[in-house]
Amino acid sequence: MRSLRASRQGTIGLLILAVFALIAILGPFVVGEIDRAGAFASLQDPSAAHPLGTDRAGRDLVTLNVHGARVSLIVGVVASLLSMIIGSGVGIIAGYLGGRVDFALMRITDFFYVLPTLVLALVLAAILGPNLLNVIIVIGIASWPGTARVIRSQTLSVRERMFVDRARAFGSGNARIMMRQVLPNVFGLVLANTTLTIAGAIFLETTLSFLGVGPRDTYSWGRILEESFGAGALTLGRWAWFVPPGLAVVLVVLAFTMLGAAFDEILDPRLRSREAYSSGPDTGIDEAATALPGRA
Amino acid sequence: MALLEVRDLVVEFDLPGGRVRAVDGVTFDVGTAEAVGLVGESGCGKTTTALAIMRLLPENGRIAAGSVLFDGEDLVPMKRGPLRRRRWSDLSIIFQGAMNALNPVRRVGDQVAEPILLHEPSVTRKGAWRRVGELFELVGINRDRRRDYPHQFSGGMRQRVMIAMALANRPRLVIGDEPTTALDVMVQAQILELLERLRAELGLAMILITHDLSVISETCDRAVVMYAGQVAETGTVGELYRRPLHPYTERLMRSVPDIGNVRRLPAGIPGHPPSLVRPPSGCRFHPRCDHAMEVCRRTFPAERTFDPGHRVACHAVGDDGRTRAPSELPLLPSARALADLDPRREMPTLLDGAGAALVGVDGEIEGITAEGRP
Amino acid sequence: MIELRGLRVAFARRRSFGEVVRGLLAPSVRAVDGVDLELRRGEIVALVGESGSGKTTTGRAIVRLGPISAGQILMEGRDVTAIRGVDLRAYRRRVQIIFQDPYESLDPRRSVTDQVAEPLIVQGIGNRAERRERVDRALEEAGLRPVALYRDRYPHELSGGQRQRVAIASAMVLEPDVLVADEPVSMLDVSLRSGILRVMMDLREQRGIGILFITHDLSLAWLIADRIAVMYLGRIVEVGPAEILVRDPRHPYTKALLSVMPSPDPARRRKRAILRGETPDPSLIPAGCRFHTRCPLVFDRCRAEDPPDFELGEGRRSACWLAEGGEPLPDFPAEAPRLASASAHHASAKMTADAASAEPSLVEPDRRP
Repeated sequence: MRSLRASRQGTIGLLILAVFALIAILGPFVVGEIDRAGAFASLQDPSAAHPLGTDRAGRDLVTLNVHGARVSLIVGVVASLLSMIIGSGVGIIAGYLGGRVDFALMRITDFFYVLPTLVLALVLAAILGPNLLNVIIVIGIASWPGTARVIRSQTLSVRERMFVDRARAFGSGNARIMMRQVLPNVFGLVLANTTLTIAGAIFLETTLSFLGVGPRDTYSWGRILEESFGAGALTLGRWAWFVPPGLAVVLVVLAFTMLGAAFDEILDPRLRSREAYSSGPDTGIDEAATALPGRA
Repeated sequence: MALLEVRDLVVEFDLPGGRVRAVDGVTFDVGTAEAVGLVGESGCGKTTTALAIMRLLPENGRIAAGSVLFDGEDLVPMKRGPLRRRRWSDLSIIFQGAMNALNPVRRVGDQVAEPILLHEPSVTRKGAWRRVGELFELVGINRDRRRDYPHQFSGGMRQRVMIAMALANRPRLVIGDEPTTALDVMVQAQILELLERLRAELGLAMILITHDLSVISETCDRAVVMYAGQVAETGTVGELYRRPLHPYTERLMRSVPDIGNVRRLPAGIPGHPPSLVRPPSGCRFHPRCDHAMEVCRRTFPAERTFDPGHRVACHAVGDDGRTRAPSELPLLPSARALADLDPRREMPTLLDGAGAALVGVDGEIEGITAEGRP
Repeated sequence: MIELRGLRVAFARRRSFGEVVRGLLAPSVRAVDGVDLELRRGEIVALVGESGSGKTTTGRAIVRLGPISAGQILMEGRDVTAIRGVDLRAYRRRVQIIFQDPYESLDPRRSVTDQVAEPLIVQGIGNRAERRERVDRALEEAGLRPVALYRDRYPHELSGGQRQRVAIASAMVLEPDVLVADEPVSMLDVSLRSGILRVMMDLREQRGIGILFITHDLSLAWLIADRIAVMYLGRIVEVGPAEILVRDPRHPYTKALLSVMPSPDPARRRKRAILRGETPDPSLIPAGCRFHTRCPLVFDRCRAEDPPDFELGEGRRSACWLAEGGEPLPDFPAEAPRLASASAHHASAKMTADAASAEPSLVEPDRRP
């Protein structure tokens, strides 16, 4: 993890997320609950009392955005967790067991993969109802195939490694090998993949909310956007209403993406090269040469 | 004056762990049409030396001191232009794992022709192609195979292609970095025989880099034994075999199985080649040496020459050119402990470069670490 | 104790487009093509061969890591070729393997103790305390002393030699009867090899295990093995006690291998019988004696008939028509001069090129409908 700090992208991303996480966790305590409709005068301009103004129903926008942070982040994280668990499970099992199991699982994955995400989400949202839990489930279902594919291909290469052979040699069963040999060695990739999935999930939730099928029981950034556009904020030039949530989504998604890219750098095969000071193979590669970045 | 003279070469690398001197004061000569072997185990700096001679060090490496005189001219301070002209037409190199260095999507003939076209602008494509044909024959490949792709060749054949490429501009010196590793024993013999033949026919000088002592004994005239970035001993292969002066050379010679001789498991050398980030003080071999004395821990031994051209850097070698036996020397406790060490036992080495801590027979840590701490 | 009878392992290679179009069936790569071998208690048998010989495939088949197409593996008389489930697990407890690459054979993310203990956990042996003790003992036996220094280290903190010892410990912790060692020292520095070899020889002395030592290095085999079995293209062409085989080889391939072994003594530059060309592709094994295309002593019968294993007494066998009479091999015929002149080198170059590309009597890919 120290290597994360070495990457400038990673550091910036982490910082941004830290800020938003803080807002999401502590914010609601600072600003209090979301105001009920009519608490303040509607469509006020930004002022000292309301730094972002109020919406059409007279709710303070700062409060809304702070709560929105919490909702959007929760949706993003939980949905991706769901997708990661399903996706990794399928990916590892299919990749390791191969044969008919792999075939069957991959065809199912393909099926979900090619379904247009948005359409799927819309349909599921319409069927299951637009509350927070359902939206999370919907996003989870839509995202897992991507993870499954990536994990599967990583599993395929881990499967060939010698220490897996060794485990088979002393009698480890498939289940055990998948848990103890394969999983820990694809975990890094899972993590990197998850950060990107979270970004996607947040974005997807925002889109769904914007289209009106997002969670109706709480306020997310997407919902703020939806309402602002519905009230014609764009034409009215009410920047304070729609810019903050939009910007927030962009920043968070960007931050996760940067984090994902940083993970990518870290997980580069460079890192998998032998540590510099061990007695090397008899190909006679000099220690110093081996330790150089970019050399096998 | 020899064809190639390497004098006090020092090569440094910038690594995340610190600055490392991979090569620390290496000196040797290569005469015209002479084959010199650079032998040593992992981390001794032999490949780095070769790369330094060719001025092909990677980004974070540099020649910090010393000179490399080719035909009297120092290659170290040379600018890019004159250097490129020298490269390949005077000196060429066959890289380690070369057989995998071929571009898989280009015909081998084109790849071998490339250095010709690059360095000799007067040669036409046709002329280059013809030359490639000659080169292929020289190295034992059918001319018609110029149009083939690398994957159509076996490992041994690809190595021949690499040799052809190295000879493309008729160099006077060829460096072969582990040219036969990863090849089958029979193919290895073929390649070595090829190199010998080429040396005789073309009057080539060669530097053969390998960890395999027997290969050097078979094909080279002289050898340079390297350890941890420095030269331990230099001499003819005959001298090194019959009269190795440096304890490391002697142990190394004995580690190699020799069919037909006594069938006994060699003693090996306890411990491991050291990290070069914080190498042992004084003579770098001293933590593993059963001849080690106090002076070995303090100062690096000066190189001395004994007839005929036999050079060694070791405190245990007397002025009469005889290496004193351990019993005649005031040994360090660590050296004495080595004699009692169970040969099956692993000598623990802390990999952060602190050198070797010796462990006594009953598991207690005794002896001295490289820094002199008990 | 372990016996291989007529072991065969064949893989089907993917057909090239041309082969598909021509209606040819996938050529099978006969990696192991009829191997008979015995390994007795307390014995070290070296399986020597170059690439394509099938030695690694044989080793893996013995520990049931690789497929077996035909033939039998017998353990103390019992056929274990096709056992599964509980029986297989019990078999695995008795037959273990060490791999060539000390870097790859350990899981980079788990500590030494974890990895050495795992076989015990998988096999359900002992409770935590007992396991701990057995792990410590295994590490000590492998030469990693004091154990405390190594127990909690991770592979990247160890040197190659140390990692290989951990691998040995994890194989020995189950106290197997048979150990298959697949090139255990070829990736280690020369000065470090003896340590590992000594450990293995001590295991043989003290525990009476049988070791199948797979290597491409005949001189290493000579040093450590009681018996040597030489493989070529999937078949054992000669087997016998190490010293005797080296002094008096009864198969031309063995004789050729011996003659090209480099020696550290520069004065001993013997006449090397360097075979032309390379080992043929295992999917195109020559008809008749599989070695005939490169054999310096080839004659007509060799091209037509594949020789059986001839028993030569003293536990020696050779698959060569010349060995039939029980006589030592004749000398190899004189070859083209080593340092060829310009004209001669054209000739030898042609020989090399031809031998490398053309195979006189080949087995055509199967045309079965």
